[in-house]
Amino acid sequence: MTNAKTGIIAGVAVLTLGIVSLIISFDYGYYSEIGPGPGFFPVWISGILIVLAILYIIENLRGKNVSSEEWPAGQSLKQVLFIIMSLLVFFVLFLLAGYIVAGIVFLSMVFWKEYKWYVAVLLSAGITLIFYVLFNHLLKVHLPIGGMLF
Amino acid sequence: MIDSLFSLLEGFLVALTWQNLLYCFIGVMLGMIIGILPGLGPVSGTALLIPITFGMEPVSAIIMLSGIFYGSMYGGTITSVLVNVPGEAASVITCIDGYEMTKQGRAGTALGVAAIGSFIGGIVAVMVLTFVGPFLSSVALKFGPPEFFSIMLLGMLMIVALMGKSLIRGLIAAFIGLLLSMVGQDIVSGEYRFTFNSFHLMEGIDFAVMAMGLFGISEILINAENPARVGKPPKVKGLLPRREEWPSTLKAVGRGTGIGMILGLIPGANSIIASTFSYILEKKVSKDPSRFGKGAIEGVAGPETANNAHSGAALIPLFSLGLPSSPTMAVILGAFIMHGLTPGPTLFTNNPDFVWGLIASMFIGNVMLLILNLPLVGMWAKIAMVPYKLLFPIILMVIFLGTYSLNGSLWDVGMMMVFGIIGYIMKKLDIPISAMIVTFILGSQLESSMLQSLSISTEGFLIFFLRPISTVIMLITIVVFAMSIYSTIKNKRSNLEADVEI
Repeated sequence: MTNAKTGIIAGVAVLTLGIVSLIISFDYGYYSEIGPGPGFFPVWISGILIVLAILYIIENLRGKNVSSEEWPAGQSLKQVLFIIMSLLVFFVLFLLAGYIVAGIVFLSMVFWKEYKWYVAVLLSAGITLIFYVLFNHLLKVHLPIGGMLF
Repeated sequence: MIDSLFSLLEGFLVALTWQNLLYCFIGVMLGMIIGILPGLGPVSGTALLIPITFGMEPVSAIIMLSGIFYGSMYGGTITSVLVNVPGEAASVITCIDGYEMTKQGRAGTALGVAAIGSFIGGIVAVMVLTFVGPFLSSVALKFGPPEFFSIMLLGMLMIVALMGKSLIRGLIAAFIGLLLSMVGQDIVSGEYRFTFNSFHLMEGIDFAVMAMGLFGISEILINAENPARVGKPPKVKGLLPRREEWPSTLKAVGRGTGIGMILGLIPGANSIIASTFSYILEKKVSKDPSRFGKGAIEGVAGPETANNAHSGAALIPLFSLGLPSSPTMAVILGAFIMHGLTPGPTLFTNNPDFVWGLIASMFIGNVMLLILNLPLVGMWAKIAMVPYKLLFPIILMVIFLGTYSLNGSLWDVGMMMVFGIIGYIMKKLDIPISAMIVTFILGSQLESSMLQSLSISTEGFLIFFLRPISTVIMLITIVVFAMSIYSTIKNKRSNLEADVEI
């Protein structure tokens, strides 16, 4: 996919955001007795956003000012998706089984390829516990050790 | 003038308590580490440490966060010089002559000169803050809503105009930021907007959640594509330049201080612009420009001084007007608000202990940094050797737990992750995140100042052009806007003003 194409997709996404927020904005009073109401700002911001999105799409259609950043492919793409995936696993496990389990599993996942398996597990357990002590005792933030499962 | 000196002395009483000294030290140490580590910049660094400051006194918290900010400017130099990998973006330009000096066996001199220059630039900037800050804020105390509206508008526009390569993309980012700032209860009418009946959104989007995702997570994802490879740093010896190099070095430091100071005051002119500008100037005034790129000492001294002077000067508009001039400033402004402080003209009168304690801590912090950098420079080089594969999971963990600790809610964590992916996509599309974060944090103030202006106005929108100060600022705003449109049409936007988050 070319960068111009992704630019157009992004432009359509911004356009949709603008249109949706404009529709919602009409629900808030545009004018009140003391002057502009709570709807005044949102209406204008959404309106301008719509115009900008259209200009952005046109810019990309003409191939002008297109982002020069490369989108990742192959190995780099895998790596990016892997990190997002492992964060999601962390999130879900945190919810289901609490911090300790989630932390160890998450870190083991990312360390797995880089270290021998027992190093990865020990490292993960160590770091997880250090953070547990740090947050619970020093920063007084309670990290749950159980979740919805137990 | 004299008043400022007395207030500053009182500030030292606040800053010299053992716990504030400790937090200042922790701040500058963390700043050094963040600056040294490639793949972790000052914005994400400050953002991910905000939650940790929650239990602290406001003054200690901000002392620490500011220490991280100016400390990172010192740290970034070390890897640029030693291994040709900039630790943070403002030090990119230092790689050119700094690494060249290392190849000639003069790494120590390059680092020594950078540390001395950074110290001078930093101290001068804080001194100017001491005297100009109160003056500017006393002027700003007379401002009404129309003046504030126009100043904020100008500040936002400058950031859009100076950062990023495309005006349209910059504006899109800015308006999305404004839109996001509307979420939650409207402070003027009390109405709930864009909450989709979710009680999580009623108080609006948490600034720290957004900053950690947009800057922290997205940076990790970008680094995952092509991790920076750091080679083994060479041994460092001899920190001072040769006798005949002193005059030209000091002149470069002087010019760097001036450039950094002036650019620091301008919203949107980030520290990479300051260091690049200083490099160009040094090359121009040099008797023998061909030395540049081959290990010219001025090519290290000037830019490194400029970025430190810049980071000090950038606090002036923040303290006196409440205007953040860069994303890191926006993060610090967010921290102010979280700790119940309002940056702006009333800060000096309402919270003198706080503001003077903070300024005094910056003198102390710069001295600490000079000591940390001159004799201990070899130790820091080793930190750059911490393998990234070990580091990034720990950073992710800090971001995750930091977000969770804000309210003990996984909703925040989920939202942070969504912002992380949005930030990554924005970086790929080259839409400047910095413009979005600044408008997000100023959004509600912009709206309320505009509504207040209109409610006191009998002429509607003309009020912005009927009061002298606001008229002048508005005219500047219009000129800046027209110039950015012109440069867009003529395709004259240079790559120098790339979007770097400092």
